[in-house]
Amino acid sequence: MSVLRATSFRAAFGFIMLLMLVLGLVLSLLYKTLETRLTTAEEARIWREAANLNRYYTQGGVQALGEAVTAAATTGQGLGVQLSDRLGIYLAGNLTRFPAPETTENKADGWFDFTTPQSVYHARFVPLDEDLVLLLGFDRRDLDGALADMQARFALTLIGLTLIGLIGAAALAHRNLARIGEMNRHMQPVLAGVLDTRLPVGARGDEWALLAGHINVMLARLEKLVDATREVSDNLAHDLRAPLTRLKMRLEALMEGAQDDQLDQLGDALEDIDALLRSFNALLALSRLESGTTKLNRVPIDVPALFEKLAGLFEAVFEDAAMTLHVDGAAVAVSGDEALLSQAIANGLENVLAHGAQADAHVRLMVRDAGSHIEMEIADQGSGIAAADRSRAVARFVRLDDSRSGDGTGLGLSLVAAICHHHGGALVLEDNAPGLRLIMQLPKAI
Amino acid sequence: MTVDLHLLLVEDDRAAADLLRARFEAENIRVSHAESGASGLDAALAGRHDVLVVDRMMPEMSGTDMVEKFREAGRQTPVLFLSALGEVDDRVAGFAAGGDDYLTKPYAFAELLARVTALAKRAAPPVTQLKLADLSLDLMARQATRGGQSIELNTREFTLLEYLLKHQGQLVTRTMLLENVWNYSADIETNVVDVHISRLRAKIDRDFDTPLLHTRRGRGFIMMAEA
Repeated sequence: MSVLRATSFRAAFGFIMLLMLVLGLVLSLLYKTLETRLTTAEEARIWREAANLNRYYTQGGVQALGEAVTAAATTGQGLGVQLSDRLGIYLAGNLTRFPAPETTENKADGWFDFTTPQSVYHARFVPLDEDLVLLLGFDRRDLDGALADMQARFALTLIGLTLIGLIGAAALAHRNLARIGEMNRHMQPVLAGVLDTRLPVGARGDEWALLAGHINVMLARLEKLVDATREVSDNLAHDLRAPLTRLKMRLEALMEGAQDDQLDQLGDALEDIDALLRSFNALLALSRLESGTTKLNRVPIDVPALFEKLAGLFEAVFEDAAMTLHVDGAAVAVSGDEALLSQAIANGLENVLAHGAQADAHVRLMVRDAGSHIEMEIADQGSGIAAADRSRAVARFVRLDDSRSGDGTGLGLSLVAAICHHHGGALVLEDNAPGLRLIMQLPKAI
Repeated sequence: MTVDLHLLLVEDDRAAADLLRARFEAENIRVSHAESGASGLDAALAGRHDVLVVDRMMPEMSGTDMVEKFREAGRQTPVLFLSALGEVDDRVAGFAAGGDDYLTKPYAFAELLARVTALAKRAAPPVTQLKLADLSLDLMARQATRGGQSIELNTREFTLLEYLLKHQGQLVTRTMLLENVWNYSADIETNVVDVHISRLRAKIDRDFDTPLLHTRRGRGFIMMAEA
């Protein structure tokens, strides 16, 4: 699984984004504050300069003011200064031009930005008396540079923190996925029915160890339960089969020396035992499959060979029933329990013989790769099963023709379905118009 | 067919053991009986038997444990397991313990007999020709003839006839045929085997006076000249 789809990564991603949003807000507030503070400090410097020049003017008159303005213009760092009279005639200073009226208008606090060919000044007029006006400003390129620099640093900080956070989250998610992947790998045998599997707990004593420990306890209980179920069915099998064995042997012994009519009756009795036994075997196999106590010996299946084997058995029977069996065993990669699958196919074919027989019909046994899974299908041209009855047809002991006269156990399709489920697949019944399509869906090899 | 064999039967069901012993002795097979895994192991280690027939589920020492110990002692005598457990994994466990064959209860005696004799004389000399009355089967030329007439058989029918002729005079069950001719070991409801038998019978018996392939109701089939 991709790290980006992992829950822990998604959660961390959301959290990091929220954190960065808050941090971004804090930083922009900080920036605003700093910008205001720095501007205010520079403005204060201008006011001090203005007060200073005013002192020169009051103490030494215009002459002293003019000298002080010239001195300030040359020594004042980043300072722009101009002395002019009311009529707008330049008297002294390093600012020789006047700002255009539209830049100075409508500034409530009197500050404006004044662009000269050399620089940009944050400036204001300071009238000294009726006649003289000072234009004072500071070169705002330094301040702007410092602010831009700070902006860049803040942006870099945000990006850097986000990256570090994302890398950390990805690393964490990757580690989690690796732990979960390891657990999943160890759980694979459990899915295949090997219940004595245990997860490695690890020595760290973390939440993973706790989880693995709990899963192990569950597995142990499951194993115990399955073993108990198995023991019950083993004992049941033993207790039923032991007397049947003796009964069979006694009947066989009686047949040695019996008359013809007795022979027939004894033979019938033996056949009854076999029928009883088939039902019992099917029921036992079914409950073992459904309780998961049957081990699944999953191997790669040679489908053409398996189909050929079953065709060799069944072709003649279908011919006798005036039907033709077509077997199309393509070399599709199937993995499964060969004995169980061949039992399932045999049951499917027997179902056709018992319920889907139709003279001159063609019955097909085929296999195909259906993309997400493998499908083995038996399609007949008999009377089929009405859509409403299809789910019932798979239930135990159900015979749809309502007469319990047939030879079958009524477990055939239930067994097919149980075998499909045990493989992690499903049995699907569909209309063949006319007839029935028995589709065994099996998962692809894992 | 009579085989002079000595067999050790380890079975806790005394009634079943007695019935088996009577049947085996009628076939000229000498049977020693042990009633538990422990006594069975002692008897097996002390005696010289041709085949061991061991029940899997016994109190105290199970059949599989017994055979495992027997094999650990380095003994090679062939072992056939009898068991009420017929699932594939039970069979696998039986073979893993050192068994050579596995038969699920209840079985037909004919089947047990066939398996025991097969185990006892594993290295049967290869035959190239099988005969019964005027029917003969040439295994090299893959050719069947009866009364000088050539009989056309397909591969499956040939294998079926070969198996029946190899066991002529013995009862052959449907299970035996399914396993040995079709290599199929699961339960089958339909009369698959009967269909194949009647087709074979049509080819080898129908045009001749003496039938050779007989059906024994409830038990199986037998190949012999006398009915």
